[in-house]
Amino acid sequence: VKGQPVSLRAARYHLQIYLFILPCILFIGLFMYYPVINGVYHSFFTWNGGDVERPVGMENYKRLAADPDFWRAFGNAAILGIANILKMIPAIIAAVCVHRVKSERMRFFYRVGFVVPMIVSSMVLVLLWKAFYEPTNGVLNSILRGTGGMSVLESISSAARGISEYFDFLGFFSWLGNLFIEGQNPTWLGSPKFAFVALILWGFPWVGSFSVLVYLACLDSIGKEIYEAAEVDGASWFDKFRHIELPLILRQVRVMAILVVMGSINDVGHIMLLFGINGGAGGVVQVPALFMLREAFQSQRMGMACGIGVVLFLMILIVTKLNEWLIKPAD
Amino acid sequence: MYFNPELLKELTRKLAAEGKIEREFNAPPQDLREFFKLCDLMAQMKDERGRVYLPIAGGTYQFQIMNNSIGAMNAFAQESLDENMDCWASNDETFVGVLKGRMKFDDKRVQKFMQLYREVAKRLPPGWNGLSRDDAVMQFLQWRSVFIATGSWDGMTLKKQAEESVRPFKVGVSHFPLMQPNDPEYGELAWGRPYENPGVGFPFAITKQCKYPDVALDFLRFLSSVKGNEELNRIILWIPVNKAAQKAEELKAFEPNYSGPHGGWSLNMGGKSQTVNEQINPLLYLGEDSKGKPVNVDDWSRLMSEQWLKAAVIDYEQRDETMRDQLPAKESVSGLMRAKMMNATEDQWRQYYRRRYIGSMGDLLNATREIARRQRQLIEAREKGELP
Repeated sequence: VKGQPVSLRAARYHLQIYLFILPCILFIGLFMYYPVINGVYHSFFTWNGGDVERPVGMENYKRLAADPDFWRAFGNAAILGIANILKMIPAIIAAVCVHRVKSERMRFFYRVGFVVPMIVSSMVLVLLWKAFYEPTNGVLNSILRGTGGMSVLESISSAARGISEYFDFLGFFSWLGNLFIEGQNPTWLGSPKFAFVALILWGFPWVGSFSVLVYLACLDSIGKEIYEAAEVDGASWFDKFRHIELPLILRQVRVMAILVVMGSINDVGHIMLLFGINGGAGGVVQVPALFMLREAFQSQRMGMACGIGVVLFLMILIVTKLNEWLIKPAD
Repeated sequence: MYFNPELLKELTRKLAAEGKIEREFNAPPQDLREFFKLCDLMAQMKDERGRVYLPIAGGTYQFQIMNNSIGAMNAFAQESLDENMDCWASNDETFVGVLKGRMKFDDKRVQKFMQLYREVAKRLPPGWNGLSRDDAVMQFLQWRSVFIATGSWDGMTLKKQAEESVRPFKVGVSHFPLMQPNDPEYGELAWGRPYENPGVGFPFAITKQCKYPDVALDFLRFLSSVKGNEELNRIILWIPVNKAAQKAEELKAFEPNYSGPHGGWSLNMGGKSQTVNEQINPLLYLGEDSKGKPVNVDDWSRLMSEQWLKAAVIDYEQRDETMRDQLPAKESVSGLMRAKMMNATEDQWRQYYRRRYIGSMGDLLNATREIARRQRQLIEAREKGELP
């Protein structure tokens, strides 16, 4: 349906209806647009959030561009963003598997199984993961020790140490070589060398309930006859995925990818809970949003923090556009 | 510091039987060197389930508490930093001291002091940097750890939790051990038990809106009376503010020491320098960087020399700017007080606003003097090329 221009007479006739939506517009304006506009405005000021407010033009942006910590934070966010996009794959596979389950009952059972974790608060999840990573009594180290996985990891590290003496690709082999040392429990959250690994591993097996349910909703629209036709044509399991399911859920994948990228740049809650406001020892997992928080509340540079917010917004906008351009869903 | 006396006795008895120590202990040794040795021996022992003991229960919170005892061992730095001779090296004085090269991060004594932190951190559980305050309490209550460093405020909770734990025990209290002056390595930094802030009370007030100020005052007098203070202190296990009030037995170890050395520098100039400090120090405490390469005290000195001063200059300039930006507001307050004083009809109010006016003028003059001093320092440093 295409919108039609409304004449003043018609608007006056429907005045009551317009008055009904007015509070909504006012609240959106007050609580969503005003803070954003205010943030952009204050990014051109030296502002401590209180009594000091002095216009400085582009000074905040110039300082930001010259701050190596800020760009390092973006580098970290890029690594996390790539990892988070790769972490979308298990959810797609899980959705396809549930969709292919023949029994209606079992399919319902799995759906419920994916809905239940959504009830758990994200804060509780972070705390559970904190306990999971605990080095002495934690579940992860116990599983690794109990299953012999730790010995495998230690052997890999030992081999990487050997390789690093001859060839060290961007310091990767020396890092891997120093990761798992025999007789030492990995300190996932306490050690700077594990910080990134712990952050990427977080949420394993990365089958997010929300994304699985979104994909499932889309997959359910595929008619049985399409699968039957594919089977007649001799399509394999993977062929059906590649030519029927993936093109259909690509639009949802794109939306989820945008959300994931936005989260990677913006999300800071779980990093703060796991590693603190400094991004762990040496600031290893410092991300732009954490940098912004520190500027705002630790350094009292609210104007600078607003500038960072504007840069983050622009970055997200660029990445979203890139995403739209790269992932084109089937019509 | 709190400890589990039964576990301490049990473990030291075994160690004494094996001939590793001379005697069993009823209380922690008060010599830090001996304490370290005991912790190292305990860390090699296993409980009935085959788990190694973690002698000192700890996360970042407990490490901070231990810092309070060790932090005073850099008192030597005051000699070169304390410009106004008030026995404190403020963050401004520290900044100027580092800027002028009076304090260097690669100074041998500075390095020794930082190395001592590393020594303490080594005795904490693996991954302590990622553990919370509650994780440490759990280790202590589950008989995994013998010692836990925390303040008197946690005393009552620990006591109750220990009594109600699966394997109940009575919590012991002790001073945190000190490095002795005859120690071959750290002796020169050992200037005795550190000074502790005597500000143990908490403020009470009666507001203007209070309906019955006399009754409220009476109640506050009751709370701060000897009897009231003793009772409050018994319930919350807090150091009494009334000198005549008898302290609970558990609080004896927490009695503030008013006459010892205290911290010799303050490296937190503002957000930037604080971040540098808090990002680099843990690398030394943990002894490794993000690539797993060892970090020693020389690396710490190098990183701090490279990064701290740069960050501190930004913080210093920002504080300077903020002080200047606040001047108009201070002038407004002063003008307002002057107007109120001149317009007051009753003598009582005239006197009140006169005092407020004089106070606000003092505040304004102090701020301008401080700005001028800071500007002078920055200009001098810039002219001499001392700024990074």
